[in-house]
Amino acid sequence: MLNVGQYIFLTSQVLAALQMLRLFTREKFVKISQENLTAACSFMVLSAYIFLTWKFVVSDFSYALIYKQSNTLKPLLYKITGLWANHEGSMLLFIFILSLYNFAYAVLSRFPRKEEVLGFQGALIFFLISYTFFTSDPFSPTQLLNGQLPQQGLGMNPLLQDIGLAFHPPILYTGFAGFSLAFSIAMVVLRNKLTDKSFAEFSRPWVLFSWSSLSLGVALGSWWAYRELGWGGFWFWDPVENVSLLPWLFGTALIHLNYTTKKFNRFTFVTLLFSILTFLTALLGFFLVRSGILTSVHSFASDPTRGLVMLGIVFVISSYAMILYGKCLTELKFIPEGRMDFISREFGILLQIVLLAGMGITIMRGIIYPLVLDMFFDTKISVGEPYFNLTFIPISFMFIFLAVFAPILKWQKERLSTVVKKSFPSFVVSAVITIYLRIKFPDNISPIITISIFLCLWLFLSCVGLTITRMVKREKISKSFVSMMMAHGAFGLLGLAITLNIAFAEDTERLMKPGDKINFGGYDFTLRSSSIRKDSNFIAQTAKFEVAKENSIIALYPENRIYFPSFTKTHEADVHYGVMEDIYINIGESERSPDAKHKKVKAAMEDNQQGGYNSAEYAFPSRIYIKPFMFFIWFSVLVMAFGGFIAMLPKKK
Amino acid sequence: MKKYLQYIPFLAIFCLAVLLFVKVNGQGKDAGKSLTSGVFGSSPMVGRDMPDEVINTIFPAKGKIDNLTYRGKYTVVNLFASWCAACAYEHKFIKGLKGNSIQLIGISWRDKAEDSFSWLIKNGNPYDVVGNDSLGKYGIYLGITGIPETFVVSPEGKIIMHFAGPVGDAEVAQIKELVAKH
Repeated sequence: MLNVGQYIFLTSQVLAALQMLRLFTREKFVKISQENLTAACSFMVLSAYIFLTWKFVVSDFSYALIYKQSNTLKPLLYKITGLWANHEGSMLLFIFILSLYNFAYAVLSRFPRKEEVLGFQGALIFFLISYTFFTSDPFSPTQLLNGQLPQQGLGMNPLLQDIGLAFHPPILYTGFAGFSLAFSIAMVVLRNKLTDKSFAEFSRPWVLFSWSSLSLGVALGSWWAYRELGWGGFWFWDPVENVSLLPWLFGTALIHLNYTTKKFNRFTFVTLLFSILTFLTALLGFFLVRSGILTSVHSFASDPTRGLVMLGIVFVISSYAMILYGKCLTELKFIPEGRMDFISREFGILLQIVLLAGMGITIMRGIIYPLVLDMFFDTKISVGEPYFNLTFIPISFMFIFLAVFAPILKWQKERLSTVVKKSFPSFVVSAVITIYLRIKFPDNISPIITISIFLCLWLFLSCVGLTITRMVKREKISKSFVSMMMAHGAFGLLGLAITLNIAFAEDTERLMKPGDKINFGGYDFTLRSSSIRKDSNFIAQTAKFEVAKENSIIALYPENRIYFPSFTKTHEADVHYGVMEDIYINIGESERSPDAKHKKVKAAMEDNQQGGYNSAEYAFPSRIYIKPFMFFIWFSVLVMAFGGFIAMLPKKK
Repeated sequence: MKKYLQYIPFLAIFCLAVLLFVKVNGQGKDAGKSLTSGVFGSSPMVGRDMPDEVINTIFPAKGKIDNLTYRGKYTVVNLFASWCAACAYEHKFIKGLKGNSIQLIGISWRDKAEDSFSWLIKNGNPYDVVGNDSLGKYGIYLGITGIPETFVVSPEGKIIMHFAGPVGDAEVAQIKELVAKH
């Protein structure tokens, strides 16, 4: 017996199958246009999605997913976002977002072969629904215990009950799913052997939108890790983070390649390759984190059959794409328009693509190499920061160096003297600032940090300088110029903020009991008191810290929480966000203070038995971090993404 | 030359797929063995030997725990401390494991021996042996992230189950079932 949710879900699958079949046969089956079929399919997916959300909100435990993942005590926001805090629900979310794209594409696009593109999109939806329905059905019913429905759900991983999680998956998926359109358009171009460059113009807005969303999504994930995991860091070279970085790198390459194809039909094969690879790496990422090959907070409960089916689907999609691409590589020929000089923007882009591909390969090697070692030599290694410091950083330095010249170079041909003339002022200014910093803070700034500061600063100042020059000279400032300056300048700022953050971050760990006061990083930290508070689904042991500098005092409340009903413990750091620096405090499990007298401890332990830790005899291992320039990291990603959004907007007529 | 050039993109994908297939398929074999209530998926400790480290005991006084202690019978090793609230919560379930032809070993983790001792007097002592790990070293060898954590050890001294966090009725039933099967 199927339930309502499953009916709706399967109907949308049938509609997607019809959409896909139109790729291979002239038979229409139903007499409606491909666009309307897409709209109908999207509507059914939307219904399935809303249906499940509603069931989450009313906590209907007759659905296994809701029984396992939700709980009546959870706040409403986390009931809604709880839908995607697990494997099954997040697959539904991805399908939902993909179908929204299909609908938007059906309505907005003017690509002549739109119907075929929608056919490929339908195929993707069809495969994803098949996978979800047969291996991880979000609508499957709860197994009844003695014929009774459970009264209460098991609850959700408390680490995921966070505002960062509420928005990280939808925005990240908006990025991943959007690249599917570039993929489908590339498929249509290859299948029909179109040698015309116009497809680039049609895929451009979707690629830009997806790239911007992906940037925001990755940054949100990083922000969540910063706030929730309590390590005081924001990027850990964790395999799952790396996997999300792959589509971002390839998407960055794709954005730039789209321009060369759009303008001159140049590097079109590379453009098509990256259109395919960007989406395939997004799928690969899905597979790697869902199959349990990479373990992290994203892996949920892993199940080998799921992994195999997912691998099968990714393999079918990618081998179809790759065979088609391989065939066209020998049969098709794109004729570039105009000529290209070595000192030109196109050539710069080509070099940049090589570097981006290099970074992608570096990351892939970091993922694949441990798997190979484990398989053939039975050795387990983990690839982490040292590997990436050695391999990734040199390439990214070259990348930033190239990015400095991108806005200066003209298409097709540019004089070397102009390049030197335009890049020289920012070179001098950033060199002076870097040398000043190096002399002023010799302990913090190592040679590699020096190079990084210099390059990032150069990129940032160069973009700012060029914009100011144009404004002063009252030259025309086009939309594409603004977006490029925002994206490139913000990238420089991002690099600068990360570098300075690494160089100037400070932290200390102390055992503090109420009343203790320490001076650190120019602030006075006082642990005032500790108390217990009860929320709807957790009990928290809260420490109150007062942070004082000169005349201003702020209070921070880091917590240890125990969530119900799973009794999972989490440590909630508390962060004071400042423009120049964040103050970040995390506390550990309270322990008996070492100098307390034995009798007093006993009294405190009785107190403990009654549910209160509120005793001066308990001390907290407290970790205090001063993290400079965190604000600029988030801010620059925001600006970068907005650069992408601006570039996406249609031209004024 | 150009003829076979066209298969290169496909071959690259194919090799990757074969590699990943072997990897995912291999995972299936261990899936039955690893049981854990940890939130981060299966425990890497399952399948490993208990540490060679020798520790003193709190109860009985002047005893030792080494890896011979685990030989010949099923053993449940539970790490606790007097300052740990969740340990007090799970204590009644741990008591439920007593008997059942299971050797029950408690390890007092990062706690003073006298505090653990008085805590056990107050709450009742289900353990056959209580080890003293006041420095937390044994816990490091066991790869724990916090307490309470519970390990089930086979008569060969291999870890066969690992629970992070307090155990409840379901976990106790799981342990009993596993021991009864053998």
